[in-house]
Amino acid sequence: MSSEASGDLLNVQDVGYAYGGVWAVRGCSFSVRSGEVTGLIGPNGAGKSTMIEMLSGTLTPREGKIHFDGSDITGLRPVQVARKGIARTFQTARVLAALPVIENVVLAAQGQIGENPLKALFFRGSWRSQEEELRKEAAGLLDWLGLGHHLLSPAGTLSGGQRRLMEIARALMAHPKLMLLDEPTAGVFPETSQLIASRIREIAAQGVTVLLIAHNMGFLSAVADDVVVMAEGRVLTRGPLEVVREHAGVVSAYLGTAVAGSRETGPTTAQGVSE
Amino acid sequence: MVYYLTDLLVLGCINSIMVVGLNLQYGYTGLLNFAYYTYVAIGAYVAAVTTMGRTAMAGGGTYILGWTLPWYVGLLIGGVVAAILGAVVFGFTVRRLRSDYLAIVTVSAAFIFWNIINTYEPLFNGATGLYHVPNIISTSTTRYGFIMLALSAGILAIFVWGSRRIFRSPFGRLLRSMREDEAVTAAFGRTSWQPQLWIFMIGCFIAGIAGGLFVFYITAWSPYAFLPLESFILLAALIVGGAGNYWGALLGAFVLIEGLAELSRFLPSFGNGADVGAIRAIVIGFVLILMLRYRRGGLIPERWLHWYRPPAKPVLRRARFAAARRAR
Repeated sequence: MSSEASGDLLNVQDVGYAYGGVWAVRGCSFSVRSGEVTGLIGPNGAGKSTMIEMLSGTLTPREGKIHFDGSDITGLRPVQVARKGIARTFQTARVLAALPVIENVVLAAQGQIGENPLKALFFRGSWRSQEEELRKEAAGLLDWLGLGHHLLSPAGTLSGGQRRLMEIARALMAHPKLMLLDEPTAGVFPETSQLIASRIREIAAQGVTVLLIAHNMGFLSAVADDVVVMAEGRVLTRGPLEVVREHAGVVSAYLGTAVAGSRETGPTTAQGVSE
Repeated sequence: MVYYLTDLLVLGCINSIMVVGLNLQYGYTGLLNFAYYTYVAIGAYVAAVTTMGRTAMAGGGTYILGWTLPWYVGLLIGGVVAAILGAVVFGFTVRRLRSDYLAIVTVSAAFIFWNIINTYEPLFNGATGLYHVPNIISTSTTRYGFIMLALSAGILAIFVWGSRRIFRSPFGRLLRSMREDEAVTAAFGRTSWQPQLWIFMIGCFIAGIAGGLFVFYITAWSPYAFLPLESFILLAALIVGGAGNYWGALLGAFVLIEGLAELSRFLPSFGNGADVGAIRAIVIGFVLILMLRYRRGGLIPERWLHWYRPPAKPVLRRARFAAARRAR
């Protein structure tokens, strides 16, 4: 594929999905460059979450192709997509409530020897040191994300923001090539959201590609190299946030056509309303 | 008195083995299997027909195999057959169904197996069942009690050790995670059915072994020994003891099954004998409702087990449990 040359990790081509007879996403194409943080924005009902669900394999596209890291992942199931190196968080954070936070995170590590029942039962020596290493890594990640004091708490006792942080730690634990973050800052305290932003930048600096959905413009300007704007199931435009904000289609999608037509200048308007 | 105590303990151990096996399926993995006691019965029948030969029963009777293998081989075959049957049922049910639906189908499976065994005489002698199953060693009744106690306690210890191993291993963590949310484990590349099939088979194997021990101890088995209600009682014992916790499984078996059975002896006698059994079922139901209302985790909740005990002071730990209760 030509996109390989330009360093695209993920390439979405003319993808469509319909719930019953209603197309939520249709003719949607964009790409995510390797090592960048790409934001996916758009008003409610634009099809962002549907897109994330298709990328992670939960939904199967009705049409179009999704290429990831040189292979076609269209229609693969979540398990297979995950094995290709895509890790995700969920729109409403999904924690394994009864398990301690550290177990939630260690779980995500790939290639655990002790998950083989026979080895688990009879050959503890074969997995013990790996388990130790994974636990250290998970504890380190959680500490880095500010959850160092909650390693042993049942995950069900975490607050909303802490759950988001834990999900990011869990996704990182899988050593993914691409992280899909579905609204990592929804319902999160502003300071926590700053922490999340700086951590996402550090993650990207280490070479992990990130695609995230967000609504908060301040957060996006802090993390995203590039944003893809969706509206009514299509990609309106893409580019750096400052450029995209000026795009007439974006303004009308967010504010309605009347505003876009009568609008004189200003990122201030777009910023004011979309936050 | 000694005989009474050993009898109590042997039955307690055998029931504990059953609950430990059920705990692997329900407590660890969340698979609600109401056909569990059917596997106990399969283990009992197979252990009986592979060891008792053709001449044991006075009236003859019709049953398959009729081998005269040593008792330990028969016991093992019983467990393996139960595990294989478990795998077959798993293929039809667990792979496609979850929670309530799985429960419904396993209840039906229990009734199907019960009716087949009850009505199809060439299999296990139908409704009459098997009797005069030989003891594993011929000795006095009291001594046989001691021997069975040692044997069943030993096997129980092995299975509790195995449960503990699984609980503390990545395999156990994977099972717990699937119990909590299969979407998460799938999102991290784990197919559900393989680990679940393994644990289901291990649970059924344990059930089969328990059944074999049971039949060697009581020397008879018939369809009325494994009415579908028995699975409910085991499940109640597990929930009261603490699902997910291997100590809870043990405690539940002793407290609910043995404790209640023995307490009901001290009831003043009234009506006909059958009423005592009914009273027992009512009491079990009542205890179960109380537990689910006031102590969902059981007497020994699973969270007590998370083995990397916090290094924090006990005060902090109590505070966190309070928080956990509020979260529910």
